[in-house]
Amino acid sequence: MKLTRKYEFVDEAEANEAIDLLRDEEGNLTQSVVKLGYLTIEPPVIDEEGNTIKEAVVSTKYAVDVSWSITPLESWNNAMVFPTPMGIHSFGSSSQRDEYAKAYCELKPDSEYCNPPEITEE
Amino acid sequence: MSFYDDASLVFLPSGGAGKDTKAYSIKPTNGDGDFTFSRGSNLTATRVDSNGLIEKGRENLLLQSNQFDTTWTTSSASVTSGQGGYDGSTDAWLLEATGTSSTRVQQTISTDSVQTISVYAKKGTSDYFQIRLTGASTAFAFFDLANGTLGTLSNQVDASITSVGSGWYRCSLTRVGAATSARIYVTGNNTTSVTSGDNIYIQDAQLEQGLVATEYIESGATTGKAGILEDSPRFDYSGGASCPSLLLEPSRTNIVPISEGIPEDTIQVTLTENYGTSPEGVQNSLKVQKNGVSASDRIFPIDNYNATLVSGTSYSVSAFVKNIDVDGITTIGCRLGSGGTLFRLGYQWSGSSLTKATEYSAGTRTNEILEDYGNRWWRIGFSFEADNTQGGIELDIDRDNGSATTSIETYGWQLEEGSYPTSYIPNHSGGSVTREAEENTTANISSVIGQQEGTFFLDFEFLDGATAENQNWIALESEDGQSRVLFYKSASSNNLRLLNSQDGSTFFNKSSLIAISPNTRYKVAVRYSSGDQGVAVNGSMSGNNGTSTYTRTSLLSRVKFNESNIQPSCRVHQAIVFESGLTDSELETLTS
Repeated sequence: MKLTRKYEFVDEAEANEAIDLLRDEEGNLTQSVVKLGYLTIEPPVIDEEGNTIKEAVVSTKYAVDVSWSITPLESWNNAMVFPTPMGIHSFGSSSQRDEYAKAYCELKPDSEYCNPPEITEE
Repeated sequence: MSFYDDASLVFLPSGGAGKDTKAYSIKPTNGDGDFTFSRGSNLTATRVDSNGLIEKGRENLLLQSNQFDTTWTTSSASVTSGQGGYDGSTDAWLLEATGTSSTRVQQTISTDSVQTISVYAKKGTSDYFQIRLTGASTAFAFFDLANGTLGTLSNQVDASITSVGSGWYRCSLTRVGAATSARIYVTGNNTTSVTSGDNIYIQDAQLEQGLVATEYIESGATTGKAGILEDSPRFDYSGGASCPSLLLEPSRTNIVPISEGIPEDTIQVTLTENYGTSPEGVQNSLKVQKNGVSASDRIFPIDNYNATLVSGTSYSVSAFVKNIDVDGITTIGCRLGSGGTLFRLGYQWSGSSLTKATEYSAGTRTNEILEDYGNRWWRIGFSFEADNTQGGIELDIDRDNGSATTSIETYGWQLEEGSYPTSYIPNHSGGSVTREAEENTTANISSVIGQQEGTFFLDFEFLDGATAENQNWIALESEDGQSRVLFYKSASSNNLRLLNSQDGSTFFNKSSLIAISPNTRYKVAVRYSSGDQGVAVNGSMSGNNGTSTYTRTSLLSRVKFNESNIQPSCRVHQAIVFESGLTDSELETLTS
């Protein structure tokens, strides 16, 4: 089964250096790579006339997702991150989604995502 | 001669023969020539099926969907199997209160964003029951099984109760947000109050992504899946085709967080979720009615500047629309961030007919689309080059008539990086999703591929004629790639090319067989025999034949549609291999 893993790099150039390790001898990618770029952390605030009231807050890190069909390269490990598996980019595979959520909870067993609050009966 | 009889491998997608991970060849008949297909995405790949409807991958996220004593747990209630079901079976269950509150059966779940839970139910001693999805914002719906009506609702996007006969109803609840448990309560009335012994009948529960309950999928210890699975080849009937072709597309990401029913923002419109039948054939379209305030009464599938873009990169925006009563111009646009461009294209309604308009169009656009999806649905959109790093999508209902209170239906919003729009990628996740690139390759079948002589025929169409991308490297090749009979388009031109090599040495090549146009069918065949090569395109021999001689030591062993890991972007109608070299006349006939 393929694995979804998420990475953050200093900039696109550093990401490209890592991505180049995934190319074959003809320069073509051997893994599915999605360059998400500098992700928006907080969206901008726009008024009804379309004027920007508050600029968006954008991540300073360059995000890349990989769908690995091989064991993930160790050289990528330093850049690996595990954002909470809600409202994030995914490869359209339910099995990969579930595997990522499981890996997230193994890494962050005390997180709220992995310990949803008990629902009190109304 | 009969080309079929003489061929050693025949792949005809028009038969639509395949299953998850396999696309079958009709020859050789022992299965040796079958293709191994992979994509890896089951919830984002779609096709147009033989009924002209968009088919998705679907998944019942509940486990043991009709085994309410396994994985499910009860609270102040009991479950008893073997009851008469809605489908004439004895597969229904009695859900009976054993207490006076919280009388339910439930399953722990972990879902996100847009989801719909459904269950078949029939009144017992109680007329009412409740479905509840708990989470940060718990949603619930009460259902009156005596009268077939909805009761009290809370935090729902939608809820429905539909009679299926014999007193049975399919009841559903749709909500947005993370959910941690799915619960079915027996209740005494339209509140949670209940008397011990109250009961109802239930059967076939389903939890799925999306706005509407679709056909039931049984699940067991693992989730149930149907439709386009992770590695299902897509035999596609787009454009009203009577026979399918194999659709092979590159990896694309739909940036729209929720691509159906729930736009990120609106200006002066009234929304009705699950209003009508979408191009998918289920009732999950969104009705958008102008409030008549201005020409800019609109929805934002992505709110202003919420999408992260790369300046200088091509993107494609698309949406499905259907007219209700607009007599003007609907526009689709991408408004880029501060200092950026508004890219917009107008479409003129005339009843249910739609044509491209020049009014209200803005920005430099390419690959404008207007595709008829039947049942008065149209797919509209275009491609553009971003000149800013932030953008949004806006769909204006009628820019011609600002004060009108008219409406359209819409569905399937998509913003993807790429110079042309690809097939619809549904997204209910709240993030972005990627449909991965597709691969289609045979096993080692060197025994049915001619080595010193042979013919390779392809009948296919490009989805794009872009000049800056390597596309559709389709080959007969050896395992090490040193011997190749390769049709391809390089990044340096929009010409279809041919390369024949053996053991790394080129012996016959054509760098300009024909200039490619997207969505145009090409039939090409090459005779690659030692001492005698020729190639025909669409019924005519192309240029001079070759006379190079060679001895093949690195054997041609497979047919591969993503040679050199170049992502395909085409529709394949036929691929045929002959162990002998056909004559020029035969090549012309074959490609006519």
